[in-house]
Amino acid sequence: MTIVAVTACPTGIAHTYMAAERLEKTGKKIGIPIKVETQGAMGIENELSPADIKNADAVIYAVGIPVLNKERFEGKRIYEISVQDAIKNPEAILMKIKNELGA
Amino acid sequence: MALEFTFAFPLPRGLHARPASFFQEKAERFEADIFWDNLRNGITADGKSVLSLIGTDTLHDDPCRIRIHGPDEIAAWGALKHLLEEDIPRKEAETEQIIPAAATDVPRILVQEQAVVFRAIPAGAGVVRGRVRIYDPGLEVKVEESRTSRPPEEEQKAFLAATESLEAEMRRHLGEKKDATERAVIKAHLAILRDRAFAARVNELITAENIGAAGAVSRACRVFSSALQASRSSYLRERLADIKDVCRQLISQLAGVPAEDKVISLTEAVILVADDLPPSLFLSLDSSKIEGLVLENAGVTSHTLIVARAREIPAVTGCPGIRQKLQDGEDIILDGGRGLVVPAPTPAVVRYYDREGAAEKAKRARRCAQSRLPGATADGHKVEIGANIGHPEESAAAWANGADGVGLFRTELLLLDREAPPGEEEQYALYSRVTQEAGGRPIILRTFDIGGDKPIPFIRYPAESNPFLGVRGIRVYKEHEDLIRVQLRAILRAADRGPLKIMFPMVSSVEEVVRMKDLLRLVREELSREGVPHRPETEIGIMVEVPSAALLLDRFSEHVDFFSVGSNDLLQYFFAADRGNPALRHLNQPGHPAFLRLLKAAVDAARARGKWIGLCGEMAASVRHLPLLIGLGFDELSMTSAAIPEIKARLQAVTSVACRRLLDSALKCSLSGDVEVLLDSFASQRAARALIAPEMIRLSSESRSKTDVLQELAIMMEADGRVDSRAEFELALWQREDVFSTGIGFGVAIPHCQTTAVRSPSVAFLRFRKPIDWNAADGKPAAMAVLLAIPAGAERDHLKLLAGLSRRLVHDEFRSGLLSAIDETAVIGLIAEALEHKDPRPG
Repeated sequence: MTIVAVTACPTGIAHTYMAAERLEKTGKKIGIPIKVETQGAMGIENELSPADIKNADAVIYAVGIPVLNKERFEGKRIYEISVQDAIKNPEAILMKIKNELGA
Repeated sequence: MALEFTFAFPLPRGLHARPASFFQEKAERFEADIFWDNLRNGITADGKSVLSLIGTDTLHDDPCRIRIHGPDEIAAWGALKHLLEEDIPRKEAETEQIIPAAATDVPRILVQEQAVVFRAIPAGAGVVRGRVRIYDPGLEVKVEESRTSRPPEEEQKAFLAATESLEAEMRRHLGEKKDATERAVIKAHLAILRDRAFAARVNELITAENIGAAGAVSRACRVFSSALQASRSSYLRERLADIKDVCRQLISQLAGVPAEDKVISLTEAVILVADDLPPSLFLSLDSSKIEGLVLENAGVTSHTLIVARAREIPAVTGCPGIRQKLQDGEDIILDGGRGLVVPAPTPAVVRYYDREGAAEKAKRARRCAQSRLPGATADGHKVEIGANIGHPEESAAAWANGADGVGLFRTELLLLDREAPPGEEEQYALYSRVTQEAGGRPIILRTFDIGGDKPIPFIRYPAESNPFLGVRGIRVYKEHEDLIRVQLRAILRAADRGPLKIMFPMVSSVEEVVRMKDLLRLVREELSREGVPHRPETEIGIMVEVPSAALLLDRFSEHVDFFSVGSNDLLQYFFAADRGNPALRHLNQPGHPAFLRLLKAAVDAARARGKWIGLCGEMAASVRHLPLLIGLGFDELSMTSAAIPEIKARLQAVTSVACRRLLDSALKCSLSGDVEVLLDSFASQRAARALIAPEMIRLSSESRSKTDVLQELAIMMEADGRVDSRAEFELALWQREDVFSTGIGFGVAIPHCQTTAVRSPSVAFLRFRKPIDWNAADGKPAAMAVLLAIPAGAERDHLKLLAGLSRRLVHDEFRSGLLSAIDETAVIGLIAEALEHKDPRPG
């Protein structure tokens, strides 16, 4: 199972990157490969490729503002959470998704 | 028996004059005694007196009780209950406007404390808490309150007659008015006029104190005003105006309004509140007694405010009607930098402003160090920094602030407030004193700049429809040659003591200068003939403040030695926009490309002829426009003394090469807005400082709340020269907190913002003595705060560093390292390592 995520917050300075870091580190820890695109003050970084998205079983939006280029994720299974939650409790979130996908 | 009922007061703005008069009208109809008890504050009122009712300071939702005792109490009970529960809320809903949500650009503490705040235009930075002294010649209800020889019965009769005649007048007015709001105001005034508590108090004062009716009204006015003034509701405070208004009308009925009393004597330090204080009056006051200035309608560049800034007196303007909302002797906080007046400050507000005051004091100490810097850019381009003074007394401040000379000595201020012009000897003594105290530094003395815009008591001017475009400055000398001749004699004599230069104001054509030079020659010959010691070869210059002169400096160069641009007047004449008119502020833009082109033409012409050229208007003190003035190549900038240290420090932070490049781009713009964008990006390009420094770390912060912390961070940033405006930065932090709390959990808060107020990207670190609630996602209080401050035009490299730091902050071991770091060096080590941690993303 693989997951992709987008993080974005109002100023694009801090929460975007904190959430990305937490998701990446936690994914590694519990054995779920996860690639995180940041949409912050520096623009889009670590951009998700069409192949990344195609191969992903789920998409996480960890955001406080609207996601850019949303159309890329059409038809995918999307979990929208706040950036604060992604920072606070990424493990529970990833486990929940994992259980729901039955993987 | 007595009847009573209780209720919570329903109106959002409290019990003010209008609903109070509804209640009183109804209560009047019953024989029973009716009392209104405010159970919150224990104040009881006579239900048949509007003033007494207002005096209960009843606010929204206050628990209140109505007590009724008398023969018709049952009917009264039903009628009043209905009135309070149905009629008053309905009637008020028709006229009430709900006050907009609390403003966002005031310090958050004022919103949290629900403080009454009056807004104004900032006119002199600084914070002060002090007592109000109102200068109010037009509205003053002050009259003789001394004893009268007339029998009290006659005075009471006079009072009754005045009341009746005023009442008739008001009723006539009421008949003429159609507008419901205006009618309601007149009705409220009528209710005050006929108020029985008011009448009783006046009659009692007449008999008990044996004073005249007018005096008794004046005293009663004060008694009732102070009851209202204690109110926390700004709407109730505004009703002070109604009482004062009615009393003033009564007094004028009784005695005729007394002549304007222009003399103020200050016995204690006060915050002076006035409409627009004439400069002559301001100068006549003991400046050590003026802690602050609140003016209703003065232009920011009015002479009174220019002088106030020079004296570092906090000041605001542009707050019409504030005199009626404040009371003599009341305790207020004046925030000159933000343009706020805060009456009746609560302890938390006082605490906040104590810290602001301390920050201002520290800022002054830093400025003292800056004042000793040389006037030069980083690449060694020299710019003389001069001071503008209006009186010999002010030259001490000029030297204390590090002036290289006096670039403008406004001598006309010596003429104000006197019956006859100062004689030659008096002027000689004054000019000599300034010259001697200068110790060899140059003084540019501007000859009397007078005219219809700056009236002088002993000079008659023809009536002019537009004095700013009339006979002023050098144009006056034709008619008043004696005045200028005496001044020139005094100057030439004083010039024998040091480098004193002469500058003529308001020059618009060459022949004006030629005529003055002829006069100067005559005066010199006169002095020589008389054998009076003087300096024959004094330098002569002109103010460049009329566009016709600005475009002809090459020709003027044949007649004068130097120039000084008066940017305030030049700007208003160039754009045909009165500088004192707040509505035209958008036109008076010194950064406008057309104005810059005019300045460039002037500077280039002067330099081509080898003439010295300075600038002595308000623009010289503008940190924002400084790079443009350096780029233009002015030899000197002369400004209010208080601005000198900061300008010297800013000079050191730029290079003349970069300034010239900036100017070239600005000259090609078509809008002043385009120039502003250039200035923004120039500001953000200034040499970046290290992201973190020991000054940006506090390991045992005393802050007790989020409010404290954000203020502390703003003060730290300012103290380390990292923000332009402490206030603006603090506000930006709050605006980010409003989106959602930056308490990320794990006992960490990361207040952050991106704003033009930040000069260079910065990180600050605070560890708290006691954890602070930050509304964190996990509910845990914050034990530390990491600040990320980013300028508007931040470069990608910096953003990347801060993103890296953010990533590290979610790591347990990094946070526990910060929590247990033993000193500042350890913190810097940890943060620097996190900042340098390249590309922390896996893969």
